[in-house]
Amino acid sequence: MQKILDELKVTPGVLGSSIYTSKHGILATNLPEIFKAETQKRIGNILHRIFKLNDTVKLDVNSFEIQYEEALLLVKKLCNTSSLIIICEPDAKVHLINMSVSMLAADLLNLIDDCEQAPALPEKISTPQPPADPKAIINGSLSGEFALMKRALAKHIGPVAGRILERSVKKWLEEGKPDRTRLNELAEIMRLDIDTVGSQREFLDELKKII
Amino acid sequence: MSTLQEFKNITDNLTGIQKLVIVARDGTILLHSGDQSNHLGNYVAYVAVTAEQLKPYLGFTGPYHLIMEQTSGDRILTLLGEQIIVGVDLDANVSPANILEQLGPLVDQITI
Repeated sequence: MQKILDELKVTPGVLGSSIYTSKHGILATNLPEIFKAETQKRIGNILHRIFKLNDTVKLDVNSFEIQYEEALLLVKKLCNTSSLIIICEPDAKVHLINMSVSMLAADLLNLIDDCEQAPALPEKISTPQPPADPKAIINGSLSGEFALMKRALAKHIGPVAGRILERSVKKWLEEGKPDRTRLNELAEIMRLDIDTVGSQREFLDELKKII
Repeated sequence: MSTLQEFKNITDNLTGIQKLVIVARDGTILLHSGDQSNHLGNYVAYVAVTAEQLKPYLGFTGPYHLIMEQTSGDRILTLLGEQIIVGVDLDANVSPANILEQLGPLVDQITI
């Protein structure tokens, strides 16, 4: 784990990083020595709390950055109980760092025992491939319809609508071809993520005008 | 100096903003647009306070802004002013840096 963090530190703009878990505190770190162990644990605890807020506010935040005068703080959710915290130079190229993180995160996840449930990052190769890539389908010939369906869903469940659409399309593709005539089946899958029956009915009524 | 309404008018002319919320430092929601903005207002107030809580541990100055990224790619930009906190819910295809460049200088000018 330490080796992975050292690898990340080579990325331009990265000053150091640490892995925090809510059960065991700091698992590995190469942050500057000015940050004492207890301080790092406290920082990790405060930052990881932001991810715990997702359910309450119906958001699906999986990473965030905080800009300070002296540094940029990047925090990536590894799983429900752990986060990767990176301290960067204030003008660091975030895209470049994110690319390095995405390459290393799967390896990190495998090394964290606490991360047994619902990993926030893509799983490794062993999972069976879905019939088609949901993202490609969403951006394909039915993209206009999908955009309207996402918007209709967002009225009921907020900004997570995009994520739910993607998940629903994945399930939809497992049951058949991505055909316009099957959009009503997709609507039925999406409906299940709306809390109240009344809202579900409104959602389906609205979709009848679209599909 | 700008008013809240003037600030909102500027954001109305920017593309890709799904929601806007402006919160006072005490957590009071002063202005919002779009659905479920109370959630967004409470959220940006919380993350702003959290970022400020970290200052004694980090020894840094600020914070100036936060960018929260969701799995869908949508982002929430939080700007911290002297008197207010601004939350902006952005489409996945909008650059937060671009919005930040336009709104950042205005946030400290707003008086309530």
